[in-house]
Amino acid sequence: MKPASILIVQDDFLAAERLRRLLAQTGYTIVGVAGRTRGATDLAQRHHPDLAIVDMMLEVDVDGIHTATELIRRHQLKILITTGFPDAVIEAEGVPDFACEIVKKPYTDDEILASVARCLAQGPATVSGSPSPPSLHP
Amino acid sequence: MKLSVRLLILVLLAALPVLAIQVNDLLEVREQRKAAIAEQALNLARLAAAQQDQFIESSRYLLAAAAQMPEVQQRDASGCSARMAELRMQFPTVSGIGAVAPDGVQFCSSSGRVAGISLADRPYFQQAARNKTLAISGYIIGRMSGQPHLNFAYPAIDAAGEVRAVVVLAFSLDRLSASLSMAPLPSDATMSLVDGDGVLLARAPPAPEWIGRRVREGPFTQAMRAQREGLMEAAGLDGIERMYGFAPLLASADLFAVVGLPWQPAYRQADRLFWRQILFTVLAFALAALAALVSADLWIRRPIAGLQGAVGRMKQGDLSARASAGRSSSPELRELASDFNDMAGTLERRQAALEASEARFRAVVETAADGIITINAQGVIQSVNPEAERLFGYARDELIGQNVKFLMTSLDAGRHDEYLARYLRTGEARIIGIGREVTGRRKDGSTFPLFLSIGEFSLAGERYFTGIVRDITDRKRAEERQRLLMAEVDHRAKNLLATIQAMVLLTKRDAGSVADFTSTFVGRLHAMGRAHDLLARDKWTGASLHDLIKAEFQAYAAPDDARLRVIGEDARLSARAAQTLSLALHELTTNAAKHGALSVPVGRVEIRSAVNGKELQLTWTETGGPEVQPPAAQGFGSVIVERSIAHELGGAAELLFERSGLRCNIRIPLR
Repeated sequence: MKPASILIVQDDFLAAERLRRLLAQTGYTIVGVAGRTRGATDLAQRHHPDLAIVDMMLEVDVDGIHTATELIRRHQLKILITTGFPDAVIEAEGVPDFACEIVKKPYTDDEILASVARCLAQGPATVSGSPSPPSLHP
Repeated sequence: MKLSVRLLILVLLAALPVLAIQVNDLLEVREQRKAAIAEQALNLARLAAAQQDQFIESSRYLLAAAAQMPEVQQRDASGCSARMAELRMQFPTVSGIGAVAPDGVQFCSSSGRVAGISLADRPYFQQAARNKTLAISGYIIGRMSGQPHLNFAYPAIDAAGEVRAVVVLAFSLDRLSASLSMAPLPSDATMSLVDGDGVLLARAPPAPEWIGRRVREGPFTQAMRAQREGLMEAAGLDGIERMYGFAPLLASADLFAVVGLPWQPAYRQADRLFWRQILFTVLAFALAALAALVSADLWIRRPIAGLQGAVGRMKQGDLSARASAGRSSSPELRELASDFNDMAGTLERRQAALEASEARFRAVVETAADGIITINAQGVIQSVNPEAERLFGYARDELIGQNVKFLMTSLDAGRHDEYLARYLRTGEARIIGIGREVTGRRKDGSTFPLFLSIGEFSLAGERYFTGIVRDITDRKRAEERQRLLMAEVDHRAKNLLATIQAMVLLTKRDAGSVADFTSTFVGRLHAMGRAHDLLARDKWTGASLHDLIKAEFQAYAAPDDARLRVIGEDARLSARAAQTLSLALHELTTNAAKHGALSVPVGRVEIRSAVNGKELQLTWTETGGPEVQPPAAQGFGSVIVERSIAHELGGAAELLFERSGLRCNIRIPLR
């Protein structure tokens, strides 16, 4: 069976590199590591990964939410969100509606791997409570 | 009613009894005078009657003497007439004397003429002849003279007792009147002789035209006949009011002496006295009235006018008004003025204190940094302060009289009436005494958050509410900023922990020993810390490239170390770029110190910077170090240098392992 392919969207190089090495070591195919939305969507278009691990952030030009919704809208990816934000912000931004898993930073190797496995075990990606993804940002 | 009128009425009331007493006195005096006159009239009448009696008595003597004359007894006509003429000469008041035969025919006369006149039908003759006594005629017109007379008849009786003749004595009534007039009488007084038929026989002063006329039948004649003697008040024939006294003669019950005394003169005298008294009384009371008016003016009206003036000025609002009663006014009024002034002083001080307190209170309200709006129980705005005007953008005049609802958003406005009504009905407070955040609406339609606290007070039975409003836009923004900042701090801390965690895990892979791991990890952590310091210094707005490089070098060499050189244009790095570049420079410097140019004293590191358009170009060049061999396997430090800049900054980094020394070209896009 072909290993699941994963796209990493994480602006911090060290965190992205750590994840990349961990997932690759575990046996997943890493289709790419992107620091920004543009790079991420390009990679997703090219490789059609099974899962995108998206870090939710504010300080860069385009935030993690935007990246995630872009990916879902274009490629119907499953999205795993890693974040340093408190629960209230996550709730307020509507993350639970589209994320298959939400992993709080900092996380251990086991935590992230378990979440990835759960996400991949789920059915096709949907946005709960909404008939179609574009409706999030009409 | 004016004081002067009242005083005049008072004086008049005091004068009235005096005047009444005087009138009473006058009436009494008049009565007394009248009584005195009446008494005098009656006495005079009695006196006159006595005189007349005396006259009649003397006439009787004369007649009795004449009746004894032989010529009469014998009815000797010529002798008788001669004797009668002699007699007549001796009694000038007698107008004639004669004798009549018992048949009534005259045979003798003092005038000498005997025309055979008969007196047989005369009652007085018949009476004398029959009764053989003196008889008096009453008013008769003489048959010879044709003049009014009073005749006396006296019988001449002979020794046998037979009537031989009747002697007649005639008195002219004119002469009788003249003799009456001899008596001294007061002016307008009358003395009369009246017969039993009420016929006037004689009168003094003389009034020939009335002689023989009957006094008007009436009370006078009735009184005469009934009382014989008495008094009568009546108007005389001449029209003058008199008090008539009348008395009958003793000689003849048919003759009356009447004396009339006018009472008007007596009255006039009493009246003169009376009017003089009245005049004095009126003058006295007029003086009293004048004195009362003057003293009332001086002691009451003027001081009171002074008080009134002060009161009037005070009523106009001049609280400095003081009253002066004047030195001439009464002590009571002076005391009143003094009390008034004390009161005015107290009032003025209290007013001043009140005004000062009001001004202080007003100043507090007017200068308050919060908006203050007062409404009544219906929600109508009563007052606003300048801050409230400023907050809502309305002028005071536009607010007062409006319902406070129009300062609210439509949601709150819709509920306000209900809130207010419920509070007034049940006392259930939603905001009053608690305060809460609400949304205000300005004149331009914009809304803003405000904190509203409401106090309640009652004034003159009306309930009012005071709303104190504070614009909390800034506070809300600050709270929002704070909230975002807290979230951001939390987020950054967790990201930092995640980065450090990654750094630990990645460093561990390359580390040969725990000591190696520790020094490498701590070095990297310090590099991150230095970037953090620099960024914090400029409040995370960015950092200078040269400062960043110097800070990194200083961790390995003294500031004046000649082996290190920074050349070229400085650039302003974003916070993100500063953090990324800091770690890359750390890796280059560590490598140079361990294996490269900085591992020997003669080595050199030169960093050249240039800004080319929107791109920063950095060149790291090592010289003078040990000969460089390209590494067999790529270390994690190289990975950081080459890939972190590309990944995080969208730039590029290239490591060139030249024999003379390591070289690194870095390009970073500048924002």
